[in-house]
Parts: sequence; C-alpha cells; structure tokens
Amino acid sequence: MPDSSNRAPTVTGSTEMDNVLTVRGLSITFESAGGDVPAVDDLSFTVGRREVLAVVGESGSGKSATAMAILGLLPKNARVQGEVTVAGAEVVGASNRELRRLRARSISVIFQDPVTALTPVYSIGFQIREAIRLHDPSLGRVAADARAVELLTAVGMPDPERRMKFYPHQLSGGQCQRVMIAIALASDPELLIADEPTTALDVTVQAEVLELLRALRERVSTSIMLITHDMGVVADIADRVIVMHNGRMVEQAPTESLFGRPTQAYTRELLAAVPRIAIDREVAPPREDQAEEVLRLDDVSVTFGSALGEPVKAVRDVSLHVQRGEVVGLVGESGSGKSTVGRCAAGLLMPTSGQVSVLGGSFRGRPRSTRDLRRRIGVVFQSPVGSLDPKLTVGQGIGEPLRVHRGMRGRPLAERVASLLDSVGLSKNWADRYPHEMSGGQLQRVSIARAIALDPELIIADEPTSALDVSVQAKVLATFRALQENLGFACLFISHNLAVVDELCNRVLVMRLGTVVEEGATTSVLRAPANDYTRALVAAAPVPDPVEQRRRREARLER
Amino acid sequence: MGRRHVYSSRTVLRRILHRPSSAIGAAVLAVLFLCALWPVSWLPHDPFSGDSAKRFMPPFFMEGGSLSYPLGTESLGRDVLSMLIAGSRYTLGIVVTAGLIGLIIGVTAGLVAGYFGGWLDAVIMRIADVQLAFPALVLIIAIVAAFGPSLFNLVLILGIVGWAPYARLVRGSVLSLKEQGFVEAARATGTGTSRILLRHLLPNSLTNILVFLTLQLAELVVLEASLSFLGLGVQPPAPSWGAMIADARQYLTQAWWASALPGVVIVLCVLSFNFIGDELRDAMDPTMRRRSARGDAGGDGVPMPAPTRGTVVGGAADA
Repeated sequence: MPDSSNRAPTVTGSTEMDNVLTVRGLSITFESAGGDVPAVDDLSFTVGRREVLAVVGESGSGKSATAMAILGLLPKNARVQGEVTVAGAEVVGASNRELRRLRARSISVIFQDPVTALTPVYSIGFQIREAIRLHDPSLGRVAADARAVELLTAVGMPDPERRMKFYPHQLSGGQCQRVMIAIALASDPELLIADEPTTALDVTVQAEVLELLRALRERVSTSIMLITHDMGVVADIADRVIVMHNGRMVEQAPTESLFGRPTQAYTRELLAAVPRIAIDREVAPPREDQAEEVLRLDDVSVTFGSALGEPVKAVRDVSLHVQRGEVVGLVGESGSGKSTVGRCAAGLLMPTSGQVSVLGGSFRGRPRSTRDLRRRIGVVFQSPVGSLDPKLTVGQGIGEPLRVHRGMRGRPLAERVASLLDSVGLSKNWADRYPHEMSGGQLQRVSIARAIALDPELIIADEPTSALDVSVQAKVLATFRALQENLGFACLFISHNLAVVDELCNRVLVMRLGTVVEEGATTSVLRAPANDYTRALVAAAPVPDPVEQRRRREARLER
Repeated sequence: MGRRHVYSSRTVLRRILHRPSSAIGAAVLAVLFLCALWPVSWLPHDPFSGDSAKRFMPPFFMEGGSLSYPLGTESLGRDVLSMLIAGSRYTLGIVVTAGLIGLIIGVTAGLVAGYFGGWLDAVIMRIADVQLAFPALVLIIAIVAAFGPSLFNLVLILGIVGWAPYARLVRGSVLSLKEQGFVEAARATGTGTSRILLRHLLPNSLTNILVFLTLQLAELVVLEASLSFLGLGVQPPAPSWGAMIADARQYLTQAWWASALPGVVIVLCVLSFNFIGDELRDAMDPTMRRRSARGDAGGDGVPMPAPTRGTVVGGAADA
C-alpha cells in the first residue's frame, strides 16, 4: 500500500509535458429550439500522468458534457470553444478520422450503467477482442484471445477463460463493470474517463470496483478522470478534485485539503449535504410500550414463478412490525427483496404465504374494506419521472386521491391542493404545471404531497430519494422529516443508503437475499452491527473523508 | 417507453401544416370532407339519375366538353363531378364510422387484456390472432354474402374486422404503463379500476392510437372501394367511387374519364391519409423531438436526471 506522499508530486509540480490532458478555456453551448443553453463556461484544468482527477457536481453542472467534449462525442447541436489536448493531440475541431484514432489509442471511457453499455448479442470475449484488435490490428485471433484473458484476469474476473464465452446477461452488474474496464484497458489508454462508474452498483460491489481502479492506476500507469456526484467515492480514490456548478469550476484542490478545508461556500454546502452515519445523533429510541401496531408482516414469503426454470424466492419468512408514529428503515442491496416487502405492505402484491395486516385489516378482505385501508396509507416511489401521470397536471395528480375518496371538487379541492403544495415546499401556482416541466426533486415533492393528501396513518416510501442529487436529497429528506413530525404518520422507509436511514429511522431491518439478517434500534444496528453482512455493508459505504477512507481500506487489507 | 412526453395538439398541428407532403394531404382531406358535408340539393346535377341524351360527354378540357359538365358524364348521362362529390359522403362516412367502431372495440379489448392479464388476456389475444390470420377481404366477402349487402352491414363489418391491431397496440402500451409508478400509486391509494383505465392508461396510449387510426383509414378507403367495385358495398344507384369504377369499366374505350377519375380521387384520398399518418408518427416520436425549454425556475432548480445516462449521446445531450 503506497502512502499518499508518493502521489503528491503529480498533484502540484506537474509541467506541461507531464499532462495527459490539458483543457483550456472550454465552453460548450447546446443549441435548442428554445434558444441556446450554455452547459460549460470557460473551464480550464489538466490531468497529470498517473493522476486521478475527480470532477464533482450535481446533474446539470456540465461535468458529463466536459467528458463528452474530451472524447469528441458531443451531439451535433453542441457548439464547442477552447482547447482540449489529449496526449499531445487536439480534440476540438479534429476530423472524425483523427478522433477515432485518438479513441482507439489514447482515451478510453467507462459508463455509468455497465449492463446497457455492453452489447447484449455478443459474448464478452468477442467484445474485448474487438477492442484489442482495434488498437492493434496486427494481432491474430489466438493472440487477441490470450490478451483478452489477461485483461479479464487483471480486472479480477474469476475463471476468465470460461467467462469469455459468457453473454452480458449471464453476469452480475459488478462483473459487467469489470468487463467494461477490461475493454477500456484493451487499448492501453493514457487517459481513462470514468463517468459515474459505480453509481449503478451496490455499495459492496462499488467498494470492489473502486479497489480495482486504484490497483490499476498503480499497475498500468493510466491517468483517470473520474466524474461523480458521490463525495464518498471522491474521498476514496481521487488525488485532486474539481468542483463544478452551473458549468463553471467553483473550486480546485488536492483531495485532502478540499475535504479538510473547503474554501468555497458551494463546496461546503455539497459536503454538508452528504448524509453520514453520525456517531452522536439524537434519534428517538424505538418505543418499548405496547403502542398500536399499524403494520405487521408475519412470515411473509413471495415466490415469483417463471415459465422456464426454477421459481425465484424473492422474500423468505420476513416478519416485521411498525408502530403508530414510528419510522422503520428497511435496508438492503439490489435483489435483497426489500422492495417486494414494500409492495406487499402497500397491498400491491399478495404474498405467496404469510400474513400482512395493515391498521388491523387485511388486503384479502372485501373490496369495500380494502378500499378503506388504501385510503389510510400513502405510497412514495423511487422514480420521480414515472411516479406521476405525464398527461395530468400536478394539481390533478395530487387531487386524485381527494376526488376518489372524499369526492372533493372545485374550490375546496383547489384549496386543499394548494395547501398540500405549500406543505412540501412548492409554490401553489405550480398546480397547473405538467410533470415534464419540473425537476426530479420537485417531482418527488409532488409525490410526497400526493401520498399525504388523505392524512394517512402509514406511509410506505420505496427509495424516495435515490434518484436525486445529494443536495436535493438533503432538502427533500428535511421536508419529509418535518412532515413526519407534524403529521405523525408511521413510515416504512425502504433504502439502500444506510446514512439516509440513520438520519430518519427509529428502528432498522437489514435484508439480504430475501431474509432479514439483523434488526434493532438504528443506533445499535448501524454503529455496532452484530451481523457480518451488516458490518460489511456499513464498512463499504464510502464516507466523504479521505482519512477515514484510507483507514478503512487498510483495515480491509489487514483482514 | 423511456422518457415520456406530452404533446400539445397545437405544436403537432403546426408541424403537420409545415411539411409539404402532410400540408397537401391536409388540404386534400379538407376539400374531401367539405364535399362529404355538401348538401346533395346544392350539387350542379342530380347524382342519382341522368339524362340518357347526354351520355359520355367528355370533360371540359377535351374536345366536345362543356363547363356545365366539367368532368363529363357517364353511361347513364349522370354528371361525374356531382357523383364524385356525392360519393365522398358514402366513402368518408363509411370509413370514419367503421374506423371508430374498430377503434372502440380494439382499444377496449386491449385495455382489458393488458391491465387484467391472465386468462382474459389469453382469450382476447388469441381471438385477435385468429382475426389477423384470416385475410380480411375474404372474411368480409363471406359475411356480406351471408347477411346481404347493405350500408349498415358494410359499416359494421368493416369496423369489426379492424379491431385486432388496436387491441395489440393498446395491450402493449398498457403492459409497459401499468408497471410505472403512477399507476401503482393510483392503485395504492384505492383509485377504482375504471378510473385507472380511462383516466391514466387510455390518455397515455392515445398518441399511438391516433397515428394508427389515420393509417388505418387509408386502408379502409381502399377496402370500401374494393367491396363497392365487387358490388358488395354501396348499392346502386347510390354513387360510390368503387362502384363508379366498376360501372364505367365496360365503356373504358368510349369514356375513360368515368372510371379513371374516381380512381384518381381514391389515390389522392389514400395518399393524404398516409402522408398525415406518417407525419403524425414522426411528430409524436420522442426521439425526433427536443425537450420543452420551459420550467426551470424555482424549487430545487435542478433539471430532471436523464434516464439514458449510460449511453453516449443521451449522457451528453442532457448534461
């Protein structure tokens, strides 16, 4: 493990010759029907040899547009000004032929979603071989095969010879990202652009992929430009950080000084917005008294039958209960069955076996009584775009439960909608906007307003902030917590983000492969986990603190 | 269906009127629909009976033609222009009514099959498969032969025969829509099934349906003309374009105009529907449009995250 002082020279003392990438005065403007939209404004930076530069910003900050400009992959309606030099070659204004040579020889890229970035109809061996022979056409098939196996070994793919024949759908998300990295390395690139490389992955897989990127930097001397919104990832791997906001560079500093002493207000805001598992947070302890249970699941199992092959047991014998006014977190990685449990609790899915009782009733009852139950629970989903009907205005969407259950019309309805909009922090004038005219955070506020429209006693929230930027997430969570305190509804809060759960929940359950592996008060489960998996999960979640990240990394290696 | 768009009817209309092909199509159809609404008594001549002394008069632009019979006369001495105008009433009336009947049956079947699934879905879609496997014209001829040719039968049959493609189209879009959060949210708050179907699923499938209806109308025009040509459609002496071609066919050498001109009108009508349908499809295709520029003020102030981040073009265009 090299210590950080070895890397220091590349951070500051780099000369023009050492730089793999030089960007000077880069401006990007998108021409659109509604006028020009500036994306990047007068941006200058360099990436030194073997350096990991992180570009951080929220969506719309221009970080992805910058990456695309470096690759020469911007769409036709983009106007680019300034200079971009990669390994001595100018990118801006280069012909397609020159750009293709550059991409084949000097730059590689890793995208956010590894599953869609691989072609589903070719084996991964074929796809890696294609990249190898593009870089070096003189290699024969056998030699290219050997090199592909070598690359797969380098990215830590188990049993690489056999995996060569696999197709992308036969691999997990983390394995697909390893394949993407192998393809990116096939050309021995001088610069590797990683655009949110771990955002689509689970935390434990994310930790492995970051570990791999770090190891590669030590071994193959590639410079990495890492684009991310996750300060934890930055703290884990970057040497130097650029913070972007609205197309401009706000701050540029070596990682440890940026996290230790951020000079700009925006950077401090961004860091403060990252949810963290606090050592000394005041969380109301779980209620020990015999309060009324609003939700109870007893030995619930869900099996998804499939026409071919084995039926999948998504949830196995899960029991949980939520008391009146209590917020219970349900945590797990993708495929753990947490959303399936949520759908059972919301009555959207009937369990294969086991009992779900909500507010003393059951969804198996007569239509009239289930309708009454539904009136008393609210639901918030993950996708801000999919959760609202695109053909209805925001006001109509929020008003629907009121129309259906209370028969409200006209003025009283409009007034109630206005007060609901107000309570989630939106202007009441927005009632006649359509969802496509709003941002993700605003849409999620609308979803919350719809969920609380009928003063529910229980809310099921399935990853309500996972699709949002950190600073937006922080604001939406604050709104949600204020509403919970004012209205006092009970909540089953489903999330993969431990820190978010820590901020919000009295009690937490950790799920893995369809079963609950640990449960208890949030303070005890997240700070002193008893189960190995919970411990791994807590350790894998990156925190925005480079010192802490290094300590954890070393702890992992010692084990 | 990735990102979802809302189209204002005004922008779609403007786009249709700005493309030459669809603008011509819209103009031709406007004239034809005007003809269909034109009262019979206002026509220059009676389209149902003619003066046998004035048989086979050529159109005005040929030798011996006169402007009082601008497009000439046919074998019974009836004015071809008046017959064409009166014929548009039959053709367009039949086609639009039949198209709507097919649409209503098909959309209902598709909504029900897609939303409820299970055996209901299986039964409805197998019936649709059988319907689609059977050549429509053969089926129609058989039914008309069995029940006798009448206007009412014709409309009904043309309508019923056309339901299956709508059912498939709507079922497909319902299958993907019902997995979306907004449908789940409506179910979770206890919104009734009929309200979910009519208020959420139907409007969101409507753009596809409209495009298909336009293209389907073109097909129905040809089908109706074919049946009338075969004597199974509109019955004489009522003038229909198909029947006009059939009647004048035997006098082709003496009066080509009496059968050629209705043919030209049919071609124009079909082309117009197709032009508009093609343009509608392009105008409503999300990949052919850019996002609306409105709606960036206030609130959290961050544009919606792009669902297509993983791809090269999507990632850049949304940044």
